Amino acid sequence: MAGPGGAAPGPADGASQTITRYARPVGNINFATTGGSLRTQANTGDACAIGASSTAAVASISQQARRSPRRIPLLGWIADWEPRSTRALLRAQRYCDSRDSTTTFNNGGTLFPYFGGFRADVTARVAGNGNYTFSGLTVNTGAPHCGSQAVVAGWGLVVIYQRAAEDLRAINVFDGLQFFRGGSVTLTPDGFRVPVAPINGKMAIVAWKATRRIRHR
Amino acid sequence: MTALSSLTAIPLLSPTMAPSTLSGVATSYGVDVDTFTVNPYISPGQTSATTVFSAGGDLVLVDWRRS
Repeated sequence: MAGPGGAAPGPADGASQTITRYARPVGNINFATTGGSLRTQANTGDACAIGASSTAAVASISQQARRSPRRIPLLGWIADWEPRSTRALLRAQRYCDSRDSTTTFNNGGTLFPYFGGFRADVTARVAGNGNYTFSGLTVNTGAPHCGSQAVVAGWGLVVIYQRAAEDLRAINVFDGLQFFRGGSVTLTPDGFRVPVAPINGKMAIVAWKATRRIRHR
Repeated sequence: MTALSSLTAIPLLSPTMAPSTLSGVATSYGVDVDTFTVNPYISPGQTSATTVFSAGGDLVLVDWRRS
């Protein structure tokens, strides 16, 4: 993390809420994802600029699945600072989180608190493909986050859906709020058996980036 | 068990903080929602997998994931 004013990163530590498995549905199921940021500019512009809402599309749910009554839409969001944004709006429907997480990053004595909300069921506002607008977060756009390009405010939507034509899958859902810097997070999805054919595995991640750069290896 | 070693193909947020690869999203600064095919890393009969996400000197927060 860049320090205020572009200073070199300082020592960092802090507590996170470990990511653990939330659910593992099994069946002829698949999933689609979307999400977005309330930030409106890159770090090369105003890294603290926040919009009121963010709109993104879900486009990969099949027509048959859209008619299926069995959907498991999951909504998550993040914002920095207090007060905690325990509520958010999806398609103008206000949702309270069904559980939330907090974590604080200590950058050489300067604390950067973050809050994450998770709503386990937003079925009332998820009908299939289309645009989804997210809003309603309280976001700190001042110190200390702003001075370190550490303003984060975003959301992710994951829709698990059932369709007879889908491959048999076990979908491991992990949830929590855990940061890593110069480290890693390791998870072990299980409860499946890869067939000889077809092999059709996939993985999705919702991550929030609170600094200027991510290096991946 | 096959290790999905560090998932080098994962296009996490761009080093220049450019928008990530979200479909239908014009900007996604600071947020990354990505889906990846893992077929090259799994084999018939496999019943679990190890996923490792790593970052360099910057701060990454992971909220949830699935596979």
